[in-house]
Amino acid sequence: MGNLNQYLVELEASLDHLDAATRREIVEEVAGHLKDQAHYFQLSGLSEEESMSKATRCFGRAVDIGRKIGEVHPPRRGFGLSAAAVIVLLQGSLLLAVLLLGLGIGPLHLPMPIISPENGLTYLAAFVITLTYLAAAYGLWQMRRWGFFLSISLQLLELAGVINRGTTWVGFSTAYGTFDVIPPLLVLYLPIAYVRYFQVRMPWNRSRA
Amino acid sequence: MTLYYQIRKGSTETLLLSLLSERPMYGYQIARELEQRSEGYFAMEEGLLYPTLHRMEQEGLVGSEWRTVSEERRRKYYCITDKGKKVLANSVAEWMTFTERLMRVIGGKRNGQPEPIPG
Repeated sequence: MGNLNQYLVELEASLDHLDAATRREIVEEVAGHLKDQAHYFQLSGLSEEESMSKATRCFGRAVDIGRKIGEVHPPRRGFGLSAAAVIVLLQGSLLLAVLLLGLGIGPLHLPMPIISPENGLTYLAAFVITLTYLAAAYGLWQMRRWGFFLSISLQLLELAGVINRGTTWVGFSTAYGTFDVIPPLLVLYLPIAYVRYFQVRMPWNRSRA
Repeated sequence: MTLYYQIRKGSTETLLLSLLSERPMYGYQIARELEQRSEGYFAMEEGLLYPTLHRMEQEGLVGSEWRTVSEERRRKYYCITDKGKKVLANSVAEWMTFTERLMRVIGGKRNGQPEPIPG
């Protein structure tokens, strides 16, 4: 059964943009087919291991089949995840707007540092970060694992003050300083959403599995 | 792409709908029926059957339900929907017209040679 398990793990990994229930059903359906096929091969004299190996080979590469099935199913995302993706997109868009303004091609022509050899690298880095935000928003919208990781990383970097803040305007001031609202919220929400969407088994509920 | 693959690609949906119009079937059963009835001619690459079935389900041509077959086994049975029946009827009519007209053109030829005119 090692062959089957390995195959199903690969298949499920290629369906990671789908919600857990849909993924589970697809994997169950394919597992059933492979078991039936392996049983048929066993009747013709092959060993259990050879039968399953042949069944998976006949079925096609798990990654390819998963991708083809996955293309048929639109990703399902809840309101929270949609909102998170929009917020990250907004962060990236604001940074992009600021960059374009700095280059003098934005609509408002606000005073920004002129590009020079000294700050050229800074602009380049800011542009890369902006693109990373946009990619993260896309990844979240498509419910890709990397979209979650990228978004969380960006919010942590924002919180640490390492990178520019796209949503620094959504914050509140206290006697101790100004605090952002969006990055902490996303840092709290996205891991929870990740565990839910990908049905990650946490240490405290592994024993029940 | 050879003529065979072009024709088969265009007929897969009709073949699946035709099988499911007889009775609900699960994926493995569909694959075997298709293979046996066509004597292997329409045998599909098995993994590709499911993307097709799932697409047809998304399009509302087939429906599905899980049936428990043993304590730890369930099977997903597909059945044709009303929309699928209409599509099948149209598709069959088109195939009949196509093959009839095709045979009118090439039917009189054997091995590329025209059949002798009687009389």
